[in-house]
Amino acid sequence: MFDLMKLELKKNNIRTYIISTFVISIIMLGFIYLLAYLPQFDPNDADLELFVGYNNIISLFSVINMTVFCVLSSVMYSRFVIEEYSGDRVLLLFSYPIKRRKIFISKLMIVSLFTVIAMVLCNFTIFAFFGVSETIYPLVNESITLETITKVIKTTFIMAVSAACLGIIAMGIGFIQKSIPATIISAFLLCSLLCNIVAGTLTSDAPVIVFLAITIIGAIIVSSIVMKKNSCMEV
Amino acid sequence: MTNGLAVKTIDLVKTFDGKEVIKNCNMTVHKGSIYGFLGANGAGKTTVFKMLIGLLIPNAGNIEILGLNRVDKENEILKNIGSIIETPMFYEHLSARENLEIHLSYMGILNSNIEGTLEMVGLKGTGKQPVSKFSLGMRQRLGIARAIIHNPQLLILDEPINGLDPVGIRQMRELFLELVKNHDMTILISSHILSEIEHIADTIGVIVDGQILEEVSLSSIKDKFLMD
Ligand SMILES: Nc1ncnc2c1ncn2[C@@H]1O[C@H](COP(=O)(O)OP(=O)(O)OP(=O)(O)O)[C@@H](O)[C@H]1O
Ligand SMILES: [Mg+2]
Repeated sequence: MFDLMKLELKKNNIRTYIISTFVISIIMLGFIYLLAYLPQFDPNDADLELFVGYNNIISLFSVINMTVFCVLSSVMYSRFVIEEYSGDRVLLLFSYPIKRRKIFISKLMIVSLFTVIAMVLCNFTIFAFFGVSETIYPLVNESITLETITKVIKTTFIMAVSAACLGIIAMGIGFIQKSIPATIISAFLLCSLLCNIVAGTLTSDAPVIVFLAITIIGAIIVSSIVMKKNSCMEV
Repeated sequence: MTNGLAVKTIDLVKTFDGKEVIKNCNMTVHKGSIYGFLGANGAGKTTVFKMLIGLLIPNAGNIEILGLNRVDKENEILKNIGSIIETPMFYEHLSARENLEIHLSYMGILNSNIEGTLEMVGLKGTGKQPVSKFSLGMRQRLGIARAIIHNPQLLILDEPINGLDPVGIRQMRELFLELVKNHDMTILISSHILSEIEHIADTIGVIVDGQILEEVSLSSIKDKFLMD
């Protein structure tokens, strides 16, 4: 399996996605300052209450970053899966003495791992940078406590896993439609939809856990459907 | 008896959307021979080849390859097949060499003579170029290189000389003969033009509307002529 994953890295230029992650990190770093600064535009605006305090900033930022990484993950699936299985290259891929299921799982693993690692690193770097700058020149009228840090770690991991799982679900939709736009658009729509549902409840734990569980179960169901289709696919 | 056969299909049937495209196809290919598979456009050559490799699943019938049952011994068979189906596809941003390396890894072969194989197909010195820069003829040659590099016992080539110039066609013919003679390969080669394959084939199978009408051994015809 490890060899198959290495082959996927060789076939698809992984550097592109590493560079994308850097670019995303820089843009999102700007975004977190925007979030922190928003309430100061108009301190009397009740709508801006959503952006006050570290907890709100962490939640909002992580949800939006999840959407970004989920879309990145769907772009990777477009290349690793959709393009390869809907083009003529699949004729060759299926004529190798390796179970189709194994090749497919190696693709899922490489993209999921990349998504989780990239998003965790991106989140941590940005929060660390922001945290340090807060101690020097604070924008938020609150002090950073151990609780804040735990919240960062917890939210980051939950959102990174969600991004990977939602990416898999989007890939499944794209696979059935045999379409790259369908893959990327469904990633975006899925995230927006789920974000809207959970955004208001993000400050408490229970709904987030439920949200995570649903995306994981969804990803498992979708990947087993796609794997079954893939195993008996005629090309 | 089946020991001497590279391919044996028995009453193979394939239907697409209820339409019978391949009807009771019985094909017999002897080891160490070149089998020319002749048929007009749409006769069903590609469909039969895809069933041999397992890319399509027959609706009925049986396939034996190298004496093994197609369904039971899938991986063992695939290790020993090299193929080109329709136009060969590559990873365009990678070099010829990298494409072959990837192919070898999937085949489970650690070291192989990549330069030597490229030279055999007339692509000496182009191993470092990205495939996106290759001409149609060069792609076809690289496709052949990929089909033979893991030293398979059976080569399945679907119209492999499409896009080659006359010199290239002659070179590939010589290569095919040499592969059979010196590398113990069996070659199954399809074409819609008799003159393309009659010079090299030992046997010609004619497929019309999904049915093999006749399998003619050319050597037996030649013998007959000599006797007369
Ligand atoms: N996936 C498919 N779905 C429906 N019909 C198909 C499919 N693949 C092939 N056919 C039909 O099967 C018939 C045989 O096609 P095939 O590609 O095997 O012919 P061929 O002998 O290889 O022709 P050519 O010389 O043009 O390559 C054609 O009538 C084609 O329309
Ligand atoms: Mg064809």
